[in-house]
Amino acid sequence: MKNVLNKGGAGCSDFQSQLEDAAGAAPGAKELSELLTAALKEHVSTCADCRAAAENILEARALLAEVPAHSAMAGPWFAPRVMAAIAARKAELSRAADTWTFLPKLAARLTWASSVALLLASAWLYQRPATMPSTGASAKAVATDITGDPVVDPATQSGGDDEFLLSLAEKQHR
Amino acid sequence: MPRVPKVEPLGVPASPAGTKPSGAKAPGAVDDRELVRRAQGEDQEAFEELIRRHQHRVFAVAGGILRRREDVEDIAQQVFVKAYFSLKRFDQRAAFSTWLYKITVNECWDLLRKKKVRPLVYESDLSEEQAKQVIAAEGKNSGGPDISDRLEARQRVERLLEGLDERDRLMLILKEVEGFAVEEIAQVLDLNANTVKVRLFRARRRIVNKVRKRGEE
Repeated sequence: MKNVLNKGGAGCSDFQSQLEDAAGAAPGAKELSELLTAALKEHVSTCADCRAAAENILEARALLAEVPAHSAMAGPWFAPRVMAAIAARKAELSRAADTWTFLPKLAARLTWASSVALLLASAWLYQRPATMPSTGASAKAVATDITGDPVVDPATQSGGDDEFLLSLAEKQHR
Repeated sequence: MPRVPKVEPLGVPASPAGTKPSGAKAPGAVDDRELVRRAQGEDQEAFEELIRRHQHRVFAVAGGILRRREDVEDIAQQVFVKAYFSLKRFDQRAAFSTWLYKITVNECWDLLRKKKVRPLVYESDLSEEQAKQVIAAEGKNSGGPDISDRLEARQRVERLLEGLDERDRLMLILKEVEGFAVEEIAQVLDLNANTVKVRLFRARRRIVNKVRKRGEE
C-alpha cells in the first residue's frame, strides 16, 4: 500500500485510502467531493498525485458504466429454480441409494450359496481320487502303433545308444 | 466429493460498512446465522431465503469472472446446490457470504479450467443482433446514445479490461460495476483490504492511461 499510495507522504496515503472508501458510495465527481473532508479537499488541491488518483476513479467509473452488471440478472425466478434443482438432485441420490440397498440382502444370500458350493466342491475334490479306477501310480502309459507294437521314441532311443557307446569308449580308454 | 472451501474465521462483518449487500437483513428479519442453522436442519424455506439474500452477490462474482450470461446462471445455480449439500459441514466460524463467495470463485475457476478457454468471453461474442437485444432489454437506451454506439463503447471497455490481470479485472468490475465495498472484495479474493486498494488503484490507472493513449493516437 505504502509503495504506491505513499509517494507524497502520509497525507497522500490517507487521502487515497479514504478516497477508495468514499468512492464506493459516490457515483460522480460532485458526490465524491462532498464526501471528502475539508482537510482532504485542501490536500487534493495541492497534490498532483492525489488529484490524478481522484480523476482516475471518476474516469474509470465513467468507462465501466457501459459494462452490464450481472447482479441485475438474478431475479425472483432464481430461488425456485435452485430449489427445483436441489429436489431433483435429492431424488437422484435417493434412487441411487435404493439401487444399492438390495445388495447387502443379496450379498448375505450369495455368501450362503457360495459357502455351500465351496463345501460341495471341496468334498467332491476330496472324494475323487478314491473313486477313480486305480491304474497304478507307477504304471506308465505306453504308446502303440497301428499293429499294437510299442512305439519307441527315436530321440530317447538314440540318446540311450549314445550313452552306451560313450560308456564303452570310456571303459576302453581306461 | 464436492470441493468446498474451508474458510478461516476472518473477523470481517457479514455486511461491510458502506454497502448494502443483498445479504443485509431488514429490521426484524432473521439473520444469516439463524437461517443457516435452520437450513442445516433441513428447513427448505430457510435455505430459499438465503438464496434470495445472496443471489445478487453470487451473480456479480460469477459475472465478474465468467462474463457469459449463460455460464453465470449455470454456475450460480451450481453454487447454491453445492452449498445446500455441504451446509452441514459449514461450522459458521466465518460468515455465510464469505463461504459462498469462495465456493463461487472455485466453481468459476473450475469451469474455466474444464473449458480451457480464456476467462473473458465478451458480449461481442454474441451476434450484433443478440447484443442489441441485450442492451435494449436493459432499458438504458431511452434518450441516450444510439444502441450501436453503446454496443461499440461496451466492446471497447471490455477490450480494455482484457488487458488487465484476471484478479485486477474482477476487482475493478466488483467495485465499479457491481458496487462491492473494498472489504467485500477482500473477502471474495481472500486478500487484505489494503492490497485490494492498491491493486484497484493500479488497475484504474492502467485502463485510464490506455484510453488516454488511444485518444492521443
